[in-house]
Amino acid sequence: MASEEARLVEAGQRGDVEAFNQLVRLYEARVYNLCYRMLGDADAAADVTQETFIAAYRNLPRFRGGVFRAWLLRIATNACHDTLRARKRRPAVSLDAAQESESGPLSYLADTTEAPDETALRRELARAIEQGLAQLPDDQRVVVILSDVQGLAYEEIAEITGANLGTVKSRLSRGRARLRDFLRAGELLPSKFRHDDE
Amino acid sequence: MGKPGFPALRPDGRVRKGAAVPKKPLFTLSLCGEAAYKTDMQPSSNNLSDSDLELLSAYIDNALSVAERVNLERRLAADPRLRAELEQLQATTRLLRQLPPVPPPRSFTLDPAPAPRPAPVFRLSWFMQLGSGLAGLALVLLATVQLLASAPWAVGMAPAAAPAPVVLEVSPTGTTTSSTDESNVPAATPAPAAGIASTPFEAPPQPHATAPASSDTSAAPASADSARQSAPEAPATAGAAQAPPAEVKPPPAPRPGFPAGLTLTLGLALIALALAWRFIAR
Repeated sequence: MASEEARLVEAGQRGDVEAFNQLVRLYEARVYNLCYRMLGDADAAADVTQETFIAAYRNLPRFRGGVFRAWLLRIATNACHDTLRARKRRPAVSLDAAQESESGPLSYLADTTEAPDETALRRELARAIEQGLAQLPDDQRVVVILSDVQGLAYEEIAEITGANLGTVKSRLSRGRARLRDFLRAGELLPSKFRHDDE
Repeated sequence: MGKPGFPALRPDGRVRKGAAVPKKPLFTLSLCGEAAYKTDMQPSSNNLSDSDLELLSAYIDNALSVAERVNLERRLAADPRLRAELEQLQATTRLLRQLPPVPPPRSFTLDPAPAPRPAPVFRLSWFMQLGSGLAGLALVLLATVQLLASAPWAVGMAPAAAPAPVVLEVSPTGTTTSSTDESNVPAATPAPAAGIASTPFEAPPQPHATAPASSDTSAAPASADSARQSAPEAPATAGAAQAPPAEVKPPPAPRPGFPAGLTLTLGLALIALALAWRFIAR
């Protein structure tokens, strides 16, 4: 597996687009999900994901060994930070983005075999978590997503974010605590999320 | 109190959907009914220190050293408040892990045709850039040398060049002592300059038909000397002292400046191109 990946990376470095596309297929879901959780917006996440793979292909000759996944996710993370920074300069976009997650992107949660209120509950819960994630500071959010949503180890998270292990641990613990506070407050008044989080 | 109920608090590592959860699930997606995730979360002692939070967080990830873990478990057993914190944090991370992945809306594979092949393009551009940059630099250097050698006609540049004063000494009326002063450079220049300027590089042997052969050839080496070795003034002036008779003769040729100027322009253009390419290419 790892050697197959190394072979694809090497072929990609020589300009073999098809080999690189195999890597894309391998990681696109993960990259897209990271971007989606970071940005909270399906369209922006798709754009940044595409951007990430193009940048990865361009810079592949400069990739010198190591864990390809971490290298790729680092590019994605940086691209997300760029987008978030640009958004802060134009706040209107982020408001739109926050609204957007209410309808479209969550429709995948609908499961016809579930009772309606079960589906509703599941959606509401997922939305609560998304909103909780959205109100975390960027540096805490990325660590929480990589660790708890994507299940990566501290070391790889440190490599992706460019922070040291201690920083990763403290950001993670603060992020979790903050999210816990948010969910706890929300649990009391589930329908009040929208009014509370500003 | 600790032992019997305690195992539920052990770090559960990466619990996935369907995995066994600790005794009292605070949030459970699979259960219906709001009570399943509404209860149990209300009262909380929020005043844990950052270091305790970090300990609990690492405990959840099974990332504590044995000593740290034993120590923390002892505290957990004794402190229900700390235990409640842990349970809430565990519930939070469990919820995050249960967050279903979002299917990507489309494929993000690159189109083989328009996808830029990075390596060749990159190398070619580098090569071209470097090549034209170096060529430009060489041309500029050549032009500089040319201009320095022919400094007198290029009045404005003359003072900067070392050989220039030496050559200039020739031009005035022959009073070498006063002419070392650079201030009379402009006044003296025009006539001799043109004659000497064309000689060193263009056509060393016989630059001007009009000038007497003997005096001209003596003047040419002198100026060539002075151009090449800037330091030795004594020989140059000596050579120059013999020259004066010749220098008045040749009429100012209009064209000697042309090649140097052209070379300089071309060189600068190439360098500019090399620099510009850097920005165009990306």
